[in-house]
Amino acid sequence: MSYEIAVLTSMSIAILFALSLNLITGFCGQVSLGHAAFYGIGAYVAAMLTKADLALPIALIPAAVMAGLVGVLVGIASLRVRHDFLAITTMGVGFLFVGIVRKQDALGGEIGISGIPSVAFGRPGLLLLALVCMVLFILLSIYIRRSWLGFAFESISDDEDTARTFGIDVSKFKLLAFVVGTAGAGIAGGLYAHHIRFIGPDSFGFVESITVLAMVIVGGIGSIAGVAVAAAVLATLPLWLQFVDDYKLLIYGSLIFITMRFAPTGIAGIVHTLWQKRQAK
Amino acid sequence: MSLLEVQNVSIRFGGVDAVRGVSLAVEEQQLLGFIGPNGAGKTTMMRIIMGMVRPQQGSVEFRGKDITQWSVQHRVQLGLALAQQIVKPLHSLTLLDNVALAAGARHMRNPLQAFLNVDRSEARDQARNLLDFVGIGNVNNAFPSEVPLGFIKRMEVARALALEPGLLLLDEPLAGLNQTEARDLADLIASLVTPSRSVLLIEHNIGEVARICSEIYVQENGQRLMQDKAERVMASAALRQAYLGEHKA
Ligand SMILES: Nc1ncnc2c1ncn2[C@@H]1O[C@H](COP(=O)(O)OP(=O)(O)OP(=O)(O)O)[C@@H](O)[C@H]1O
Ligand SMILES: [Mg+2]
Repeated sequence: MSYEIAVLTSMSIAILFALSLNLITGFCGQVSLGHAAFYGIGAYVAAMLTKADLALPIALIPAAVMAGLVGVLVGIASLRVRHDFLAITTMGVGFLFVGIVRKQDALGGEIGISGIPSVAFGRPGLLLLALVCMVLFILLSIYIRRSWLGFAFESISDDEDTARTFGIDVSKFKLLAFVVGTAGAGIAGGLYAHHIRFIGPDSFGFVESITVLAMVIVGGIGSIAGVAVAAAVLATLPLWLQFVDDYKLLIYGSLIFITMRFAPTGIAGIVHTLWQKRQAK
Repeated sequence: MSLLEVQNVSIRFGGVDAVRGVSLAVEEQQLLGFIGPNGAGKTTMMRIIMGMVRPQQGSVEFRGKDITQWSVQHRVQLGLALAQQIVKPLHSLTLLDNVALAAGARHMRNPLQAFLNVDRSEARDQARNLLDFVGIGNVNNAFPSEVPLGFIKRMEVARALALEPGLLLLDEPLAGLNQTEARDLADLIASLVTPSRSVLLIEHNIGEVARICSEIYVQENGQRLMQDKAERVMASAALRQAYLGEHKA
């Protein structure tokens, strides 16, 4: 039973993390290769606070706020760059995070933080909390998609210069996508820290940024259901297959490449096409 | 006071003086034709008026406000809209949603307001009417990649209209249309002028411009050549010279 709980917790956290990137990259069209930095910020903030006896559900709030604040700063710095340059800028932010944390003794430096306390009601309690956060983020994503905010994001993702000719203040909308997406990653990170109960700078490096990007791309950029399914599957693969864990960067990198090359709309796109064929019959 | 007043604007791209000290005014409830040979700087003027490029000299005033330093989105909010020479449809949206997005622009003035608004049916109804109005209501649900260029050009006119502009800028809306289509669309453009809406029409189809515009502005080689009543412009030797000069060069 405890194994199943652990797997489900991993899945919920991964879905939340992937959907948070989906909001930035999928909805609003802003590529990020450094999303793990915000996951890391949330993890460190939440871990420090629960070690100081704060309850996790409350500690998740400052974790989200801190990740979101840094997200806005990165967003402001990235407003002028697009596409490939944005990818490189955000990748830089990812490395910067790891580099800074390594040198902070208060954050455990190279060694990281261990002995992160367990949550009230133990593992089932954490699973419940992760599920609640995941479901809330799914609902938020669905709502945004239907609202005019989602419509504005779609236009920015398609062509931001044309979006401006509708009177849309593109910068403000992009920043909002960054805030909500990075705050979501912060919550996912806080949950992750209490799931693993040990974190170090390398838990939030380039590999993790690529992993979460693979979830979004393989699932189908922008598709809530597709990304959730891809996140659930990709999060559990390393648990079942040891070699996936050993060759993460290689495997997730290949998945991104193969999807982009042969099925750019991902799982969601493939399912959609099959469904249309069935209907046509 | 004119609705739009462009004063003495100049812009230089690298070594090219695309626009040199040009002044131009559009009055309330006016349909002003804007003609000139290829490379005269017509599109550049439109981009200056919209704020897509900043002139190195001169000013742009609209509705009595100096908007020279304003961003594109703020000019749109103040009442400018354009349909560009090179079409810019949003490829991931249907023609209907391309127009609906513009029709609901007021819901997207800021992200919070956009977040709180969910209903798209009113904007879609408006979009449907506008697409009917420009004569392509039968392809509402097609994507831009599935229809001919002429349809996209009309969709973009509908999309600009959806913003309810006080001044509509059209850059060669008739390009790529056959004679009857061009005539129909020209009539439609003429009908767009109302007490609360003026149109600045850039066109190479001088016949249609002369037919529907009572006044025409002519630009050549980045400079103002003349602005006068259509029949006087059409009769002028300078105009013929400008268009013939193109071949001489
Ligand atoms: N962004 C740019 N960079 C460099 N040169 C430019 C740029 N935009 C326009 N030009 C140059 O400025 C001149 C005017 O171009 P513009 O497109 O405004 O002419 P136009 O009157 O619209 O021509 P057409 O009738 O062919 O559409 C041309 O020589 C063009 O090459
Ligand atoms: Mg032009």
